[in-house]
Amino acid sequence: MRKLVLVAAALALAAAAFVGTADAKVWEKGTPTVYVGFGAGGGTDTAVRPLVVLMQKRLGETINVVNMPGASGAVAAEDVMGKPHDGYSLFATGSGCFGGYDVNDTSPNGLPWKWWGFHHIQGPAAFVVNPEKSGINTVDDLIKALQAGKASVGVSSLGAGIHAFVEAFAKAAGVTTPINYVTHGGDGKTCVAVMAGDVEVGSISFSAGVDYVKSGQLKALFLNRRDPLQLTDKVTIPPITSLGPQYSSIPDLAETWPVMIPRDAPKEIVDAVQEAFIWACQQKEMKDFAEQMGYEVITRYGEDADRVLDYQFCAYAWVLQDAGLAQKVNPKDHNIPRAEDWNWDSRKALYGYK
Amino acid sequence: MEYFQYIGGMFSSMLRDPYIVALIFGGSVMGLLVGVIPGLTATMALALLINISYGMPLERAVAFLLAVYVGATSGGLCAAIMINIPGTPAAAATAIDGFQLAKQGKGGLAIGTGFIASFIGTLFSIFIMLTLTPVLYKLAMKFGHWETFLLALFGIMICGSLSTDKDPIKGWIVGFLGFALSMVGMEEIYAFPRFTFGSLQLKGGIPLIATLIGVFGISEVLGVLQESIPYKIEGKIGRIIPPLSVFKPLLPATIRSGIIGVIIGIVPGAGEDVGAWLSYDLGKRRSKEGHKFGTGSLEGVLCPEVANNAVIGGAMIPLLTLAIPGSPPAAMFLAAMNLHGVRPGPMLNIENPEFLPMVGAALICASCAMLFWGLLLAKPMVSVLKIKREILLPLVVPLTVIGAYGGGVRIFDVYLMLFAGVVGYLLRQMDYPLAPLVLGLILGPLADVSFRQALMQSRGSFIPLMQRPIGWILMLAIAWLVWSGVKRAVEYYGKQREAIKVG
Repeated sequence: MRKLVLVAAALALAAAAFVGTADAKVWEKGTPTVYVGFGAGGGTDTAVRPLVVLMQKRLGETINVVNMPGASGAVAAEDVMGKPHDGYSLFATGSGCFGGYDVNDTSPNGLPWKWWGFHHIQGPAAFVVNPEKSGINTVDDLIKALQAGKASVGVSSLGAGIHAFVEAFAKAAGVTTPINYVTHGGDGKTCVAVMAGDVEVGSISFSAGVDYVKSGQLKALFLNRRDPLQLTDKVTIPPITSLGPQYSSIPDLAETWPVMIPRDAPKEIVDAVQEAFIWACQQKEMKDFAEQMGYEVITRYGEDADRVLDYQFCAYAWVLQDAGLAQKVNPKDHNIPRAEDWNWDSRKALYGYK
Repeated sequence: MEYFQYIGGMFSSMLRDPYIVALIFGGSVMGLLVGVIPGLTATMALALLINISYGMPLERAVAFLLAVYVGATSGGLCAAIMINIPGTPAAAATAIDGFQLAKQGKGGLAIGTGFIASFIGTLFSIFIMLTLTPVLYKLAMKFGHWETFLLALFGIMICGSLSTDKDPIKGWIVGFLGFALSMVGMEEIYAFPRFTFGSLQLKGGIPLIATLIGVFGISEVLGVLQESIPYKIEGKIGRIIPPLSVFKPLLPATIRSGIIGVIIGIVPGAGEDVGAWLSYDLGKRRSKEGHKFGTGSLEGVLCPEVANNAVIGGAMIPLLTLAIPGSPPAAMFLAAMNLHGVRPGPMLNIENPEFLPMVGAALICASCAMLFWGLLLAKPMVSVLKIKREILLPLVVPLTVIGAYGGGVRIFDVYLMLFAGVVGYLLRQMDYPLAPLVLGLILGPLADVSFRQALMQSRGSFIPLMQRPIGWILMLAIAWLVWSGVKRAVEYYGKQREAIKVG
């Protein structure tokens, strides 16, 4: 009898252990949700979904994706930060949005140092033209047209990376005439406006224009990266740094679309997310997705992610300020340095990224 | 010819795969149910199902997602006809005659006609998409910011003048009230908060879906609860499929509505709702029986339903050639294709020559499945009409709450829906039409942003904008709408005065 009890107890223990193993879920109490700060089908949504799908595959658990658009992602950022920081609510947006959260006071709780960020891909910015319609065929033509105030620049929206890129380029090129911007609400639409001759130049996330450049409908004058890009046998796009030494100081503001989790979320969930993120970035599906969209897989997380996002946050905040788009706060009043004065060690000490 | 043989081959290959057939029929019924429930839209359904489709091979994913898209776009007509609450914004024009037909005991016939019209509209647009894509995509490039602004303005004006038989000025007032409401939130160019009073929720703007459900759904419930004897629909359900003799005289209206739908689909941003209203307007003006529109005309159901489904094929044209979606669900489909490694755009025909025929074949299968389910489920759906409305409509309330919450996952949206319901109820009491409010809310941001972008482009001057021919056509159309509307209002008030004198 005693033996029987011992065997039963051992079996029960084994069963409990087995059940425990089977149930070792990252999110035991329910299903986590990634709140995307922009609408379904938009650039951020499209960039984030493949990462979430692959992370689901790795973790074997469903991760919901919910679109909560509004105020450049600030509504979703505030919503996630307002929920319990239990690791069940995550946030996704474009890296170019954070500067606006501060200087426009739209999301005081959603600033970079309050999150762990996982950046899987990045896309360089490019200047594209339609030489037939605009008469602009070279960088010199472009500078002359901008200086003469004869070229309007199409951008997706103001205050984001592509806008910052134009301002940085104009400053380095010595263009003193204020730039006339026309927004189009999307990089694809900017490309079409350049093709149609509605604007002379487009500053775009290159992924949106790569096919137009391949097919010869648009010409890319240069990219915001450090190496040339050989697109086809006939088309090689120069990096902006090859245009002259004055352009080497232009900051690398390539946009990313991170998935973020509050910094004080349970460590075991953050670790599991990080592990799944690294795995997802190594998968062929991610590489294929990045390649066909003109992105680059970067697998940026931890301090590396903090450092780059903080730099972008500062640079964008000042672009907004310089363009007269900072509505509530002067970046100087929040101790935000300009890109050229930015220093990671002092930023880390100030905000205690840990 | 070879091209059509290729599409035929693709079509039969889809039908030979039982998995694809199951996905099409499953996706179609899922889409129909989404369309039937007020507040759940094709965009939402596609957003939820993209992750599921990611694991499927491309052909299956395309078939599945397009079946959901076609089903959801068509399903909106059911609630519009049965309970006068459009299941989707695109079905608002259908409600005008559809609900009148339901009250006359012809709900089955209206639903049957609606589904057949949706089927024809989809097929028509697929044919245009497959044959004229290389020519028509250039039309999308002709629509700059100025033309988009004028089209949006035209949409609000036309809806305002159509949704009331008596006084179009009332329709315009409500339309521009919707326009004004759409100004709440962070505007899209400078991210400047307008009319937000420091509230973060208002910074996100007035949510469309919650407002739609509120003004149509909650106000209808309040209206029915107020009536001492709510109207009842009695008698037999009757036939669902109209006889061929009904359709023959409607052929010109069908072709016209199909063309309108395709063109509106090609124009980025306009969407299914504008197509439906424009088609309803032209139907009313051009039909020999235009005077019956608004009183329960089958043609009044057919015109918007052909057009809103024809938008599907139209929206695919800029999507496949320029990677610019013509409507919000098309944007979702574009995102799904990107996930599958297909990059719509100018290189599509070179890199994926089989993709366009695949989309065409999948859309044909999806429309057949939609028609099958629509006609099969029409009778059970119509039986819902027989439930006493004072019982049925309160049952609809939980669905409206789900729909409102599902749109933005915010409890704020539910409160706003209830508020919009009270506003809608008051407007109904004062004999104001409700559809223009929703269309104003949909098209307001488009009109606002496009107008300012057009001025950015012209550096603040109107002169360059006056040199655009499509703009002139639209401006003349708007001027004519204003003129005919004011004339109608003057006549109406003249008759009112005479009646008072006689009285």
